Amino acid sequence: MSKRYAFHVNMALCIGCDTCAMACKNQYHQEAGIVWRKVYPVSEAIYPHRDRAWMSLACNHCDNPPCLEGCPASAYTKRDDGVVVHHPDLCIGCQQCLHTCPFGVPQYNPHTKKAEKCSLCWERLDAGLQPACVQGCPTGALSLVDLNTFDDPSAIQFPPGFPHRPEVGPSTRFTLPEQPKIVRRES
Amino acid sequence: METLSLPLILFTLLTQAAVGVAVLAAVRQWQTADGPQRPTAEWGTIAGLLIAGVLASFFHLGHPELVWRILTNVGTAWLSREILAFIVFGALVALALWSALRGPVSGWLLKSVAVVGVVALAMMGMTYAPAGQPAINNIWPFVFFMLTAATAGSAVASFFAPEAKQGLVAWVFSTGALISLVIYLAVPCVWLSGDAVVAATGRAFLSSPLYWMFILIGLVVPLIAVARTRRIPGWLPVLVLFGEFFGRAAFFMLMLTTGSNIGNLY
Repeated sequence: MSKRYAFHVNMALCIGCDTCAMACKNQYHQEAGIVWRKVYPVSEAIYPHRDRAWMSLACNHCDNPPCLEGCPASAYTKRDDGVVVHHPDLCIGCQQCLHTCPFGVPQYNPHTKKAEKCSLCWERLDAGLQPACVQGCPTGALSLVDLNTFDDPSAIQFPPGFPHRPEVGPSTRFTLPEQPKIVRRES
Repeated sequence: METLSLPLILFTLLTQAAVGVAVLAAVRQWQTADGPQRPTAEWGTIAGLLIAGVLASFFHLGHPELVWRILTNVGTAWLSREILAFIVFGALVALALWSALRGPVSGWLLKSVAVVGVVALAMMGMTYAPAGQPAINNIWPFVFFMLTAATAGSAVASFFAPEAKQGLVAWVFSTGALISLVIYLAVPCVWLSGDAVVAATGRAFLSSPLYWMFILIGLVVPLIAVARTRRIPGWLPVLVLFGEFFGRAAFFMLMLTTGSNIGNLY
């Protein structure tokens, strides 16, 4: 059975250091202002504590990718392992994918005049390596999992603060941040 | 908040005006014995609007030299289907223009132009109802585009309608503009009761000068003018297109995406 790759974001371990985003930038050298992975702060309305929580997100490599379905130029394909790949040589720069993605993943590059997005480092996967962001994460908060065997019962698909679009089927899984513990010293 | 895409505004606006004029021309020429005074000029104008809109759309593409690829995903992509529908519509308009040069345009061709034009607008409505923009991930874009076709189309069609039909064209315009006014005032208010992104879109519209310029220039002033004169004055089509320009700019610039709210409550 082929694999079904997905990112697992453990928000309990994420410290919001942006190393994953920087690792992605180092790997692909995107133009200034273009990021394929972004670390979003979780608002206090969702996580109302003095500690902070973050959500590191890139492409969710959806089961039914709206970028692929909506692209008029067939510039997106989905591999057997679930990775949604954008092919720049086929892209006509119509920016339709920027609007169809509910997660705001594809970015328009004004220099190449084409869309671009995270490819889950498929070249690295094929070479037996981890995606650059996963390899760069210093706390182990970001990992690559195979959804066909991944069975962490605490992992969820739609945490608060993440668009709830079940029809699209984003593959990313999340472990929620822990509630803070208060340690009091006996007086 | 999206950026202003002038080519996209011109493409949607001019093609919708072309469909509106074509539908009115088809209905009038098919149903009335007298027909338009200048059928060739009318079909020429429709073709001109269509060509101008399509040419403008090329400036939206990052790589217009690969434009042929836009038809490679007709199976699932609404944009591919939209362009295919407009190609068929353009071909029928060209045929109608060629027929008008030789005599009356046949009934089947007029009916085909009208039906394909509306189908093309439906495809366009689906293209601009993306999953990432929940406020318009529904029937609204099609409704908005049909209303633009009715108002801008009837305004431009007034240039070609015979004197006896000026009242009818003015009635079509007034009805379309009045329905537009009600819908465009109501929809942002309804959005206010939606989820976080939809409500923010509603607030963005109601606080935007672009939106109110459209309401005022594109709908209220023309409605008053037509109510006072009972016909469409010669300057009104330009004013309507100008007002619609602001409305379309608001449509493209103010629609918020679900991706813009990640990390916050939805």
